[in-house]
Amino acid sequence: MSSYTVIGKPTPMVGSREKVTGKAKFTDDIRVANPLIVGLLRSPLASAKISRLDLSAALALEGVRAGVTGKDFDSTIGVLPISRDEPPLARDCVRYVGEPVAAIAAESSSLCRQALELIRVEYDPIEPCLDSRKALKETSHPIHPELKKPSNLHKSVTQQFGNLEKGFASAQAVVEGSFDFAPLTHAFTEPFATQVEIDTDSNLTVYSATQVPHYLHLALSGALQLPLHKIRVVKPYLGGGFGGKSDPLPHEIVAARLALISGRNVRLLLDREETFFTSHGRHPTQIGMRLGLHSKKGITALSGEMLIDGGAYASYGVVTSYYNGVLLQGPYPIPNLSFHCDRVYTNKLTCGAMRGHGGVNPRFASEVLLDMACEKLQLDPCETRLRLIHKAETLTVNQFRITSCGLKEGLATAMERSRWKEKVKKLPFGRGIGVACGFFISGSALPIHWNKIPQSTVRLTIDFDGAVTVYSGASDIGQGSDTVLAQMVAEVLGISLSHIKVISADTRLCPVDLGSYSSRVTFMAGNAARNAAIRMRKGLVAAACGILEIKPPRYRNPKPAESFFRQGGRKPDFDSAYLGPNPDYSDGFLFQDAKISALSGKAKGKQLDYFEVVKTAVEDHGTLQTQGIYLSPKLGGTFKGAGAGLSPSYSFTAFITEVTVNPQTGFIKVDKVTCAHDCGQPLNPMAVEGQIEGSIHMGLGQALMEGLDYVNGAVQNASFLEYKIPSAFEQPEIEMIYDLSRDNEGPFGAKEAGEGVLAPIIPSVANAIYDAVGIRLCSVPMTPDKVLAALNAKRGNHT
Amino acid sequence: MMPSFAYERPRSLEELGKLLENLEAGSFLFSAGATDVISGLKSHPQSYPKTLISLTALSELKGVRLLEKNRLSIGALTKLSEIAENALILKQAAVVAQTAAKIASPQIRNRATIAGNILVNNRCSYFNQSRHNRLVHQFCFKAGGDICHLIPAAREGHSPLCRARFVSDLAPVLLLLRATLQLWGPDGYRKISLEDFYTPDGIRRNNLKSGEIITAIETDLSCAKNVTYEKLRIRNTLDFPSVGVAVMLNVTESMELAVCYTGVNTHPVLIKLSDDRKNGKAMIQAACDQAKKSAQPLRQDHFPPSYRKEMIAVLIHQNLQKLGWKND
Amino acid sequence: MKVITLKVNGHCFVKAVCPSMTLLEFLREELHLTGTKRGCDVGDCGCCTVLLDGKPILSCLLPVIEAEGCEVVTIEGISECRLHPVQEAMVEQGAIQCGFCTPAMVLNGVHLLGTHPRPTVDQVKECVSGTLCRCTGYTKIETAFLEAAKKMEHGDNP
Repeated sequence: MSSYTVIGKPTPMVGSREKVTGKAKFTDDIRVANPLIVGLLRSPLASAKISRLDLSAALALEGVRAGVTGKDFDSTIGVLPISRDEPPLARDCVRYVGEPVAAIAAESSSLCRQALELIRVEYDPIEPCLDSRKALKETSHPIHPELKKPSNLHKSVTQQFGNLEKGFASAQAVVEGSFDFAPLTHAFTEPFATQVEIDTDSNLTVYSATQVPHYLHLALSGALQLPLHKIRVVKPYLGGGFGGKSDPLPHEIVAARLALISGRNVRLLLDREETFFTSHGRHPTQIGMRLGLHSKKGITALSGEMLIDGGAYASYGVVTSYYNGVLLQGPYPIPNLSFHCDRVYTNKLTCGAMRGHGGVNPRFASEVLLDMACEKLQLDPCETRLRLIHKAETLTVNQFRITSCGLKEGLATAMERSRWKEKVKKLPFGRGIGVACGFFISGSALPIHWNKIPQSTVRLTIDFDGAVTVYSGASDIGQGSDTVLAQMVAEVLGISLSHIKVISADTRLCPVDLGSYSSRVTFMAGNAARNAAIRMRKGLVAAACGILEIKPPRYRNPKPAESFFRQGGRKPDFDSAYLGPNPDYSDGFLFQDAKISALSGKAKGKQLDYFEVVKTAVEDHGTLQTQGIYLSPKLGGTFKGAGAGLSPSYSFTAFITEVTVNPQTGFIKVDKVTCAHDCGQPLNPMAVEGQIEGSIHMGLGQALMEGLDYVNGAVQNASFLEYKIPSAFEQPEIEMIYDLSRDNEGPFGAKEAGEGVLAPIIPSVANAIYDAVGIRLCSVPMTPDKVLAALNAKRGNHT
Repeated sequence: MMPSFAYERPRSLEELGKLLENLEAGSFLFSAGATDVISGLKSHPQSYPKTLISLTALSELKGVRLLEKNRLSIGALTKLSEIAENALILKQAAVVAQTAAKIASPQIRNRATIAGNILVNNRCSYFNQSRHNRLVHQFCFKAGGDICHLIPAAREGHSPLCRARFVSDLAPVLLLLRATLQLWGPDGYRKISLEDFYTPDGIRRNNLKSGEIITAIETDLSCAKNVTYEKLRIRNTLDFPSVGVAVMLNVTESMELAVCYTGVNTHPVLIKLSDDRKNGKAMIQAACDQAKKSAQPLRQDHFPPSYRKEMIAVLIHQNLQKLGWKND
Repeated sequence: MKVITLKVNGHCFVKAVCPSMTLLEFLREELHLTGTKRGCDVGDCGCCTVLLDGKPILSCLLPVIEAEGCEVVTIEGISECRLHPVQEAMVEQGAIQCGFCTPAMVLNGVHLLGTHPRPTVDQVKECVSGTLCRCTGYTKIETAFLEAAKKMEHGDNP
């Protein structure tokens, strides 16, 4: 048992009372004074040269205040500095159906719409490239001629570790398969929205639905050629992201430009179809994979060929290309591993980061293959996995550092709870049970911008009233990041959450944080918050000692955060080390229930009121301020691409899933899932459960029904009616196991919980379908028609 | 925001009659629950009426009552949620209530009416699109253009010109209940059997004349207990039926089997069989064969056409099982 | 323009409106009641749910003029001084993540428990099924409604 008072306790989310009463202001709920309404004209063609673009008639309309085209922007944007290839508005050519070509700012939305109709555009169509295989071939019309490549290949990644040949030769079973995956969108409920306020000195305040205020800040500054200090980015309440709001996006730049040109506040709200166009969803993927298994030696070799269809622009694509391979290294050791991933440009929607970024589709392939190999060797798929799972404190073949890993216990518990042994291969035809595992990063150790600024900084202030304000650049996008930061501060300072106010995601008020993506906030911003709080505690201890007339404590030299091997050259923030389940702040005081009590020395047993101590400290110093930082330790090897997938810690997940397959209709009903997720110390169990339940929803959507439907480059199902995300009826019964380890470097021992859960649910369904009716599905989503076709093929009854 | 239109809300059929005298055919649109109409208008601004006529204040269109000769009358404005909970309907024709209870979503059922479901617009992956998407593919016949993207050979004058699929859930059930529609128009009342109501064209859809409205639906209750309905859709809510099948099985001295499916062709397809010798198995097979032969699914839905075609027979059997038919 | 009279959250409004204006636009842009969300604007997502004469409907599909003489309750009208048990339960159970569908879910729940004080799990699912939530997987929303029902049964009435 831990002695925590806040950490580990189910804690209602900060802001949930605002949300449940409708008071929470999302971006479009803000009312800026007298705004112009911005609208975008979008390309109806997948690929064309813009031969004429004339805004004059639109601009002549009474009430139209400004208009812009690609010519109004000098630079291109993109989240990765190494691949910024997207113009805020199309310049000479359009590259996908729905690409914004021009924008108008007008006094009303109806005027804006009229004006957009008056814009004259003439296109010279170019044969679009819509097929990812064809995109690899030489072409006279590359989508990005500026890259001077003969084909539409954007990024090609190859890595090889160990000796594949030997690895496969030593396997008892070698299995292979081809897999394909539909393009997906995040389908968050809040559409994209941006509003911009401009003051008389042309300072901009940009309110935007973004996961990454800091990156947007940088992008706006670059694209508008405006110094950073003239721009303030604020993320209001945000209606879901899942990676879809983790790029600086064209409409945000365009809105800001129109505010600058018109000198007026502007308001932009994309409709649902435009939101589909703008989200950089999961890459459509084709995978060929081969896996060798030996009953004693484990996975002896794995090789993969991935082709991912990136759409029109780069987005996070370089990272995605790596993640398709490097995220195969857990949760089992693979001594001989190779992969090759090509990312191609096509004239379709840009793809980028979506929950489980890059690791989801290859995880399906490898977990299905592992199931097939177990079948071949007549091994129990769960028992086999139990034997294979990484030990804590090991290095993977490409030098990922596995610090903590509680998956073995997790899977064993899941087996018991699901009564695996009684069910596997024993359920009647039509019912089945399947298993799959996965792992994920807790934040990328390497920042996107290669600088030495801490990845997270959190600042705390306490004023005379004793209230604590936490300033963090992290974006609460519904996952509960504000809550988790407040909890950590409350824990260290021994006060209740009601005394803590979090101000986050405002680039003027908050220190830099890289944002909410790659499951980094709990780990990185969390460590920074914890460190800031420990510093604050020291100040309060000093004041308490003054009141008690005792000497301040002599702190032990904090051990550096080295967990079990090299930390590298960087010096960690001084208090990074995990202090154990019963934290000893080595100051001889207990901070609890807003009381500060001396535990030792001559003041032992004396108790001070927290507010009294604060008052004394403020009298001495003025407002109390501290900050904490997080900078990832230097990790990884020195080979090319060694940085991809490095994380200070990894989460692990296992799913045991039970399904019923209707052999007449092919419908799959997921009856029950048992999920074991090792997120280290669950800081807020309620939030962890919410992340697991949400990941199951999204994973089952991908497994069973979701996919963008393209016809001639146009998405035909860009609506919530036709892009099928699961409803309440499709959510299965869920059992969760999630208190499985403590990570030495995570704040209070915590790791990520938001993304890693998603990937393994999908292959667990596939493996359960096999157990139920004996078919292997390799095309995702596994829709009823595919199930039925496979069943018919198996029955030898081709129709 | 939608473009502007005039709005009228007549308080009686008489008032409606007067109103229509001054309106040109094609310049107005009726609306009741408004769910299908407004979502259609939002994505299809070129079909904007000059006048939207709300029927919601017409008390003549309300109420559920038993008529003579074992017939039930349901007022056109009866909302789907009311049908689902109406004690009379639950007692006399539970299948109607159960079918209504699984249409669209709870919020939509609180506005959408029975007549609205009978008249619900046909759907197609090219028609139910934004203006932007229409610019990509060109306007199809149903959207006022001159092409069918699914049957490129279709030309003006061909019949059917438009193959947008029929998606009403209630129509197949009501067809098996031998429903009759009570219509009102500028020329007065008339009755039409539901069987004669629909046309095979995805644009014209039915035999309602300009200015005509449905005032009530009358169903025959004699075989209501022998009718069931089953549908397939990927989600158990929101979605229109990918395929829906109603079945009526009546075994007395002879055996009567009727099947009606929706979601596939441009109109509900009704198959009626009877057999004095009660050779059930053969009849069922014949119904399945006829259904398969008549089905013309196109790529208009989440599910591929061949799958939807195949599912009709599966749903026939599911219904028969519900009706207590033992397949042996 | 037509002048209409309607009640919103207990207050009577007389306003000139354009017939093509939806109730959603009226609430958000005229009354600045921004708790009602615009997620898709075409009747698919259910985020714009309000109660019209006590029943949940989609405000994006209803011309405001059709609400003439009706009583509309939005999320802003659910709790004046204290949270409704449904709201309370949603906060306590962690049924809220991003919060964008939350106002609609609250109204769904308030209506459900008003008509079915002891709902079955299926009734709860049906009630939730008209509103899409991408964050929670609906699990905790359903739990919250069932908890709220228990609370209300024990006399904690709004």
